[in-house]
Amino acid sequence: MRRIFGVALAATIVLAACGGSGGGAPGGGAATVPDTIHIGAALPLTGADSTPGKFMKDAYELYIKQVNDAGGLQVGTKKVKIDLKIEDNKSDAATSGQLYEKLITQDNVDLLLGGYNTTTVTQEVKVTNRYKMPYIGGGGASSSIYADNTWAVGVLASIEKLAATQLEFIKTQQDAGKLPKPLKIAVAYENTSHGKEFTAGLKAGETATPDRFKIVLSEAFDLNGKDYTSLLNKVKDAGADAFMVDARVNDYIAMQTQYKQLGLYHKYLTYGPRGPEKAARTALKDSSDYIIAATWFDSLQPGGNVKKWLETWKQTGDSPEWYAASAWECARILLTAVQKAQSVDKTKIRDMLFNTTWDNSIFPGGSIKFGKNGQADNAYVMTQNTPGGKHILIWPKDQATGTPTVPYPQK
Amino acid sequence: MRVVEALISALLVAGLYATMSYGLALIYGVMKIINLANAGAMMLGSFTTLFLWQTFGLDPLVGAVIVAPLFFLLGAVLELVFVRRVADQKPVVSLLLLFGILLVMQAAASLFLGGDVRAVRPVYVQEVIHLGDVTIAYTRLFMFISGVLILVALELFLRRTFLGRAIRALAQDRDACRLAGIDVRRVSMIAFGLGTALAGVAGALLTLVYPFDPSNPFGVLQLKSFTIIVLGGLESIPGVAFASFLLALAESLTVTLSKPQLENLVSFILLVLVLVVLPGGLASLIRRRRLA
Repeated sequence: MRRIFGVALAATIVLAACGGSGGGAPGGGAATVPDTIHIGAALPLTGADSTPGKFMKDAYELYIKQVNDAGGLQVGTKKVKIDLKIEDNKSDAATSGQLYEKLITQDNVDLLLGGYNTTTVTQEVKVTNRYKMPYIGGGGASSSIYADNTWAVGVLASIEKLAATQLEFIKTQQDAGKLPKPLKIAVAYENTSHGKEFTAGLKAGETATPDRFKIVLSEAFDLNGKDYTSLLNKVKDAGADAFMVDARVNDYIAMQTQYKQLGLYHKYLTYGPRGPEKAARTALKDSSDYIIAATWFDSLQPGGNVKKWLETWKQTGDSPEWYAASAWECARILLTAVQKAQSVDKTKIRDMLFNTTWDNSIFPGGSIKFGKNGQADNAYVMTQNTPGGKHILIWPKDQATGTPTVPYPQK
Repeated sequence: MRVVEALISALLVAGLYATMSYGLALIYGVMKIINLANAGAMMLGSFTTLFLWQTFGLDPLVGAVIVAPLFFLLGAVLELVFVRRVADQKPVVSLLLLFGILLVMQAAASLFLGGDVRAVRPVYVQEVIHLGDVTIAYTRLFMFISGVLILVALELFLRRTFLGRAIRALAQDRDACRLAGIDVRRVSMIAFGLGTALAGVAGALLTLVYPFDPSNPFGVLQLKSFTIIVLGGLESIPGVAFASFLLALAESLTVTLSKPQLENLVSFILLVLVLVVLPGGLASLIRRRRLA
């Protein structure tokens, strides 16, 4: 009897030592493959960013559902179920940071998927690094997110690159005689690192090619400002040829509404990455026609991966927005990293994320490679809205689905 | 030229500010409570207008006429069911109650209507008038005219009707009104209903100019109403109109002569200054002059 008790006790100790997925301390390296891998995320399901939040949730859930429906994720010789826990951060950066901390320390998740918007993702990445947890984000593009980062990766290329891409496109239009040289630019940017990097990208272009670009006004604005009359009056006085803005969707809708109501006109008009989103097109109707955007993904991109994803995405009933595509890519890359690492060991997965080129991507170029700071550097695509709620792909040139209407048509 | 433009812009913005603030001032005047649910009523007024526009093609200016009686009823019910119960308690109780009602309105709207930004776009949404170098949007002009019409109608109602005079009397001395046989509870309910109707109408009119969403429908604009009623003297409707113009002018000139980002700072510095230096607002200044 005593012997049986001793064996049972030993077995219990061994089992406890092996533990489940949550058995180790946060950041620890429990290398065994559990029956279920727990993944956590905090998304803006309510509040100002609830639209992209809902799309990202749908993308995460759909990808993981497909994996589970196929019997689970093949990790080595074992099929593993994926459990996804999504919390609502209410579009608040501080709340999101707290939720990620809770996911790590209380819910004992194995891996993390990211939230939305630069400010929020910055908080999340700080927590991720503090607890040494693998994290992949598709909702923040500012390079400042990745300062001193060693654990998080992000699929969105930098905002400076976004600005540079727009300038590259403008150069082709200048060379075609459609835009003047130098192009006088009025810049308005949200007062965040996102906005500042956009402006820095434009200023770098101005410094490099002063014969092509001249920034005549550069003004910051607060998020969710609602009334941009004063700012727009200054823009009007600046006598610029181009109005280049970096704004979130809500601010883009508000500013463009007032831009039209004040009767402003510029030969070139952009709100950075904003333009073809369905929510904005519905709200702005024809006021958003001909707006040019540079974005990380567009449904008009060519390639089999994109077509396949669009077909899969149809079942959500959502429009194929870039934030849905980026969330899909995050889920895909994270789970593939687990497969490649054949483990839920956090360090192994982190190393796998950083050191692998992730092929079969729906992002421009067809693959994603994270830089030393953790940020991807894929090319941007550019779109232009067209009447009837449609849009065309205008950049890169060899993938264009239509001819850009430049200069912006007068009423 | 920029100063002329700033003046015209201030005048148009003043119409907008005043429309947002009348309801708040009326309710404070009569009941001595700060209606934090004012922003919620504005948001619901905007969504009702959106519904009327999408379903029946009604212009927001027409929609506002339908919103007014609906929101009068909403306000009367809120007063009857909630506000009345805490009216005699410490101010913080009504403040918290109305803050709670605001949060319920926002959460319910977000749940049932979704978090997307919406906009109403009547056919004239992009039409403008050019006066030399000054461009005036039809929408802002309509908003200004509506603000003036509401001011005139409200003043006529408060000064020329028995009910209006009862509301004014209640604002001055509640106990004296009771002694004079005025049904204080009924008049309070009507005043709260009227204040809520004005907030609903403001929400309807604001759709002409601004997109809106349930969680933060008109952003910092809502907070400016507090600066306006404090500056105007908390209870005075003409004071609200004048304070609206002063605030809009201060902001407009600041932006013209300096940076757009200072606009909100000016508004809230003004709020702090008036509370410290002139707690009774402009109305108290005028009263003091008259007494002198």
